Amino acid sequence: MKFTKKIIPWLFLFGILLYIGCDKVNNPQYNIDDTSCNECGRCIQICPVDAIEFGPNSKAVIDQTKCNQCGRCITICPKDAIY
Amino acid sequence: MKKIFIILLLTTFGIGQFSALTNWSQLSLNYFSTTAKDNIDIVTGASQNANNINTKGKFGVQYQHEVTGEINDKISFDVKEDVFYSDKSHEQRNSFLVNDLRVKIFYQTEFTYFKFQFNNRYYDSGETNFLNLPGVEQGTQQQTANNAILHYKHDVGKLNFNIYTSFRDLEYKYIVLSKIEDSKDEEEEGNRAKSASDYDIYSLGKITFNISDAFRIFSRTYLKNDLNKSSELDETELGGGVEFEKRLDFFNSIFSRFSYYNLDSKAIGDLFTHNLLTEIRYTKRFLFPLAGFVSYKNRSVYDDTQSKLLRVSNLVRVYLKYSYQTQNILDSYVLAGIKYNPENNGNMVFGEFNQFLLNDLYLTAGVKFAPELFTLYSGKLEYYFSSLKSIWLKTEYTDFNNKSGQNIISLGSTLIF
Ligand code: SF4
Ligand code: SF4
Repeated sequence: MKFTKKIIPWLFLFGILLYIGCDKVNNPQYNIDDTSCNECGRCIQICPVDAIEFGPNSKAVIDQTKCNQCGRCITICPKDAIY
Repeated sequence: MKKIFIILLLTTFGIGQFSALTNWSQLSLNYFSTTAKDNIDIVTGASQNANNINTKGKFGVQYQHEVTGEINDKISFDVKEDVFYSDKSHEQRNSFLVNDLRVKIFYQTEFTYFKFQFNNRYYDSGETNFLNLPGVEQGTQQQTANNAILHYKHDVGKLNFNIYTSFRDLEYKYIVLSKIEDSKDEEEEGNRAKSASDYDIYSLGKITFNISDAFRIFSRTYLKNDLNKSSELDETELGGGVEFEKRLDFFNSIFSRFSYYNLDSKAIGDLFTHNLLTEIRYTKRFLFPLAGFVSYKNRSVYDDTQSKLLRVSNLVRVYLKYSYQTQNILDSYVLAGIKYNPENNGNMVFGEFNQFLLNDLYLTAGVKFAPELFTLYSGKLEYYFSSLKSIWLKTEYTDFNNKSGQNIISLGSTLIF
């Protein structure tokens, strides 16, 4: 329990350092947060290159080999699951 | 159309022979109005540049039905049907009708989990071509997507095996200009529709070792094979990581995962070869009626050429909900949240409240403000006959940063039986 309480702030700090310390990649990449996705399938229907399909756990997954980073899925997702 | 009707009948009545069934159904009539000046209407996806498409339509009807049930104590199923018809072509597909069917069958024992899933999406036929698939030169129009999935998980002592495979078949047609054979004019050309298929296989293998109740390590392989385009659109991921999941006490729980994977794909490029993924989710239950969570995800890549760590995207979510008037069918509540995702212009704040008015009538109002994308205002008036039956009137107005706006008004009913 003590160990757990110690590790939490370190994990947060690690994450924040990853963010602050790095430059951004030039090409954006979209991914889906599976804890937020409600499997509605709207992103699958709107994607112009058929880059999204249901994956393990029945949540939507983006096929990065097909995605052209148009960003339409992020606008339509009702659960704001795309990041 | 006939095919969809048969599927609907089967899902609604065919499975009705099993006991322990739960049905959820929702019917809604929609009215769209839009001031979209851009090529794409985000809600309906209709392209105003495409030829022969009716983008002027205003009405839509949607029927959704989900049946879940148990065949015995090990086998259960979930069948979901979603039919959407509109008099305006929608969702990028030059299609007036979309039918989305998902069938899942589960087998579950103490140590074994097995799932078979079949998905079918059907888009009715249109005239024009504007869906671009990678590797296909002509614009295409997808008509059917079939997707068969097998997922198997098994525990052996401290080890867990996870195997997943998904086969996807996209059936589409494309238009080519070719000589008209029965024409007297040798040179006369016309549009000819041709059909083609696109096949992909996605596979995952994962082994997890439980070091303790809270700590796990795993290794993972993910493969994508494009069966049409040789290796151009293939992908191989190899990696592993560590997971920590613990309920600290009654009010606090934490989940975190740190993983690395090596990605090999000509289509994605060398920059994404070394990937790091960090996830932390901290859930805090305050004394009822307050609940909330904060979660953080980071994706980064290590660029070999610059010897530098680069961030791909960050996602921070904060969510807080306060419930009150809990003696009614539905709790009244106020909720607020933040999504922080600067790399993909995905920052947003949102708020919603639901208020019991009188005699099982509820009012919900919400706003979602994404400065780089849109502002969405929503309102809903819902009357509950019981906790399982309701009718509602809903409106959603989306303002795309003053460039265009669209409004959907829906009248619908929800029924659980
Ligand atoms: S639109 Fe959002 S919630 Fe719906 S399936 Fe896609 S990612 Fe999931
Ligand atoms: S960004 Fe565009 S192409 Fe990529 S998955 Fe989303 S909708 Fe599809």
